[in-house]
Amino acid sequence: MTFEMAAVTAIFLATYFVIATELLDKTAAAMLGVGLVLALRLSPYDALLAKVDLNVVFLLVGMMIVVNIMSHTGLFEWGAVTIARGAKGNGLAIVLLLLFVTMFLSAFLDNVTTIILIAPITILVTQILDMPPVPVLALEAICSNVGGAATMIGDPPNILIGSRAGLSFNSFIINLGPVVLIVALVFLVVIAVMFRKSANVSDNAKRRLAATKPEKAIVEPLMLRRSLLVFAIILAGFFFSYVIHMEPGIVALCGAFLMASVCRIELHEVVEKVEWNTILFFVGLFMLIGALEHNGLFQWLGGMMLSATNGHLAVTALAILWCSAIMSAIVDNIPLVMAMIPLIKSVVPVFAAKMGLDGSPEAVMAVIEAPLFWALALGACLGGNGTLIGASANVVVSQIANRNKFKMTFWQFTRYGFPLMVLSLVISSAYLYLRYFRV
Amino acid sequence: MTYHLIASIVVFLIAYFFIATEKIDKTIASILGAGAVVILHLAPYDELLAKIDINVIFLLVGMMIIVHIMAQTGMFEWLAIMIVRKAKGNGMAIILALLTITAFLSAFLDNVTTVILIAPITILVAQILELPAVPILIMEAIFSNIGGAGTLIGDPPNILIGSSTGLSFNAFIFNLGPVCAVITIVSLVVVALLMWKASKVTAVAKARVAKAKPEKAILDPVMLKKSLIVFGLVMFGFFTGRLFDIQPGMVAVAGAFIMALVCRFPLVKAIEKVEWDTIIFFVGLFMLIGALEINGLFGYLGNMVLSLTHGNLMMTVMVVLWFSAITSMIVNNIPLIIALIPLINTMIPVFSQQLGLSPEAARVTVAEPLFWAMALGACLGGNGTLIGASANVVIGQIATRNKYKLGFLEFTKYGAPMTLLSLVICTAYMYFRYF
Repeated sequence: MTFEMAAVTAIFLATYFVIATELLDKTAAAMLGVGLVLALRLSPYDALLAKVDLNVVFLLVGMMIVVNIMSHTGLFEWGAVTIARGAKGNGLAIVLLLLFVTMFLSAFLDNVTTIILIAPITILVTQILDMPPVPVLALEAICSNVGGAATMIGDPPNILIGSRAGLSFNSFIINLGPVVLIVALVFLVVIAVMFRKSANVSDNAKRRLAATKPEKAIVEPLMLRRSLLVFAIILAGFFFSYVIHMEPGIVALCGAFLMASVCRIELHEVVEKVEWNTILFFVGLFMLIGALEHNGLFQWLGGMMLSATNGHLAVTALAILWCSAIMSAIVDNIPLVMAMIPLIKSVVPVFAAKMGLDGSPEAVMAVIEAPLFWALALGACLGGNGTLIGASANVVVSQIANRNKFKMTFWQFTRYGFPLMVLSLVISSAYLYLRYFRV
Repeated sequence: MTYHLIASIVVFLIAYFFIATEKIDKTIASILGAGAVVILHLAPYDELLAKIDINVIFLLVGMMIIVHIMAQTGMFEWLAIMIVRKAKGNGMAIILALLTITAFLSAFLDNVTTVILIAPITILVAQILELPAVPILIMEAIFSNIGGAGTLIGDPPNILIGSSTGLSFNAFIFNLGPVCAVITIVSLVVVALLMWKASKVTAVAKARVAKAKPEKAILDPVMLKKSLIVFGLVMFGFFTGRLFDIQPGMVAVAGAFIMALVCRFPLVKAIEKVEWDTIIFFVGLFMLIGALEINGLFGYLGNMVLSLTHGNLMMTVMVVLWFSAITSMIVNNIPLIIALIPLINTMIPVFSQQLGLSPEAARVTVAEPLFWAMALGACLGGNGTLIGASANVVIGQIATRNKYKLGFLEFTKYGAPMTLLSLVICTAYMYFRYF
């Protein structure tokens, strides 16, 4: 460990402490942390700027504008009332339905996009039914991270692993789909037991619900039709983005501005409503984690971890799963995955030689390389649930909650996120062992 | 010319048409233009993202937050009233003083920073004295670009030229300082003539000034003191930052957050007040111009222009001056400079061989005049249109936010003649001083 690495790690931990204890605004904390890294000359400025993932920033800004415009039409109110009426005011059924939809959507859409779409509906539904919104919102972020783990396009770590390790879209679904499905079902059962009591809806709220008229919620039918048309184009862009080589960020941003001009909305108003505070927090966080990456922390940790388990394939896979989960509960999972991919590739030949599989690349891929990458993908995606800043979706959901005057603190999220993360990792460990390493 | 280059130029010109005619919001035009570049695969997305100058964006965001917080203390009102009283309500004196300060400040600060600081004061002064605010604001953007041309640190093109050619801070002041001073003085005279009538202050307004109590303007003296201390630190950071490789963008952002914390100002509110449309407009513009750069437009144009004048040093210098001015009227000047520097470097040996000079002499008689011509053209050319320089865009947005109409055409009406005037002066200066 070099001096720079130790110093950057110390600054990162201090910033993290300030964010977790909420001593300072988290945006200010992240930016001041970056300022300190630069003032002490621990990383070059240009290198840190290059770590700011503008694609993520574009996606956030674009989707926030899209949701803001669509919320003017009354669509979300309509959706909320319709869902509540469809479930006949049964609170638990509504919560489970919302979470299931979140998981399903986020398997195909970006987690952040899913959250930005589902959160406003959730807040409205809980207000209609007098239910506590914060736990439902926190669980939605958690479920979006679970659902995202199932497919290659569901979560950025999977995209990275797929493109760098040469694993196909189908192999992700075949190998990660079953375990994600099990985790999802177990989560829903746990949540149903947890919410059994608090999801009771008062008779008062039920009567109010019966009196509502969903069709009254639509305030701007013309604007609704126009915005839905652009929204469909954006979704088509997301699904085909890998075919037309357009990243979701630019699709969302262009779609947002297209929607603003088609709906004749004053641009200044919608741009002002974007959660710029969150955007700047991400920029700061990217730079801070970039400083860790630039100084080789992830490589150092990964190397240490692999050398500790050297020689035993199943232990290595489980170590990758748990270490990457714990790491990505603390930092963003993308730099971690980028550091881990070359490390995993470097240990594959060692195992191949030991197991006498040198000659057949297919066997090496199936028996050694792919299982290690599945462990990495599960750890990186599911680990994000561990804390409020472990995954982008968590940060976004807390910001939406706070904006709506519901306080979601670091600990309020972590109280739900951490136990569920451990549960999902236990399930994943069993799955990996039984499917790939049982002798 | 490749297909990619032609298509990028077409997309750029269409976006530019909408921006210039204001048929649709300029932010929408720039982002949809950038999207078109990506959809048509005219340049790789990653490379386009890398062209977005986050340092400039940080500088804008940071300075906008700082100014918003300081505006709450009443300091700008106090300064405005003080300036007005000191000049005894003489409109012309006030306008000329504001412009001189702008030119001077921007020789040492970033142009955008200067404009963000001076514009709120100017709007207040104009309101007190019932002066036309828009022409004064436009002139301030123009003077900030002129002042910025005088030193190594005044404007990004100069920083680039300085760092890649090794020309010193003093060399910039010796060679560019005099001509910038002349242009400033001539421009002040022009402004004085132009605004002779408009700067008359009515007796009613003068009476109002006499009654104004500057000390009443300060709303929160404690916050003022705290914010001034942080502001002092930010300024110190700007001046010494270059010694430590800390760019002004980071200084401004960190300073803004420190100021919000020290003044206990709600951060979310301050961030909301940043002109995010302008920021997004810059993002789109950076990507559009990045596509032109990636496809080699600037190198192509530069080669074409230089091959036309091959053989005559003086002609080449003049062509470099006017060509870089006209180009940076239309596009941002930074990619132009990045493309031109290597081209000029390839020509230096050709000229020095032709003139039979030693490397030392070639540096003084061949290389330097070419680089000075490029610096002057790139910095002063930005005055030609509203989107030629960042300071112009920012001033347009500040004016619009304050309900003044400052569009593309209003700016160009003043900017284009002023640019022409300053380029004529530069041409004469280059001729007499170096040939």
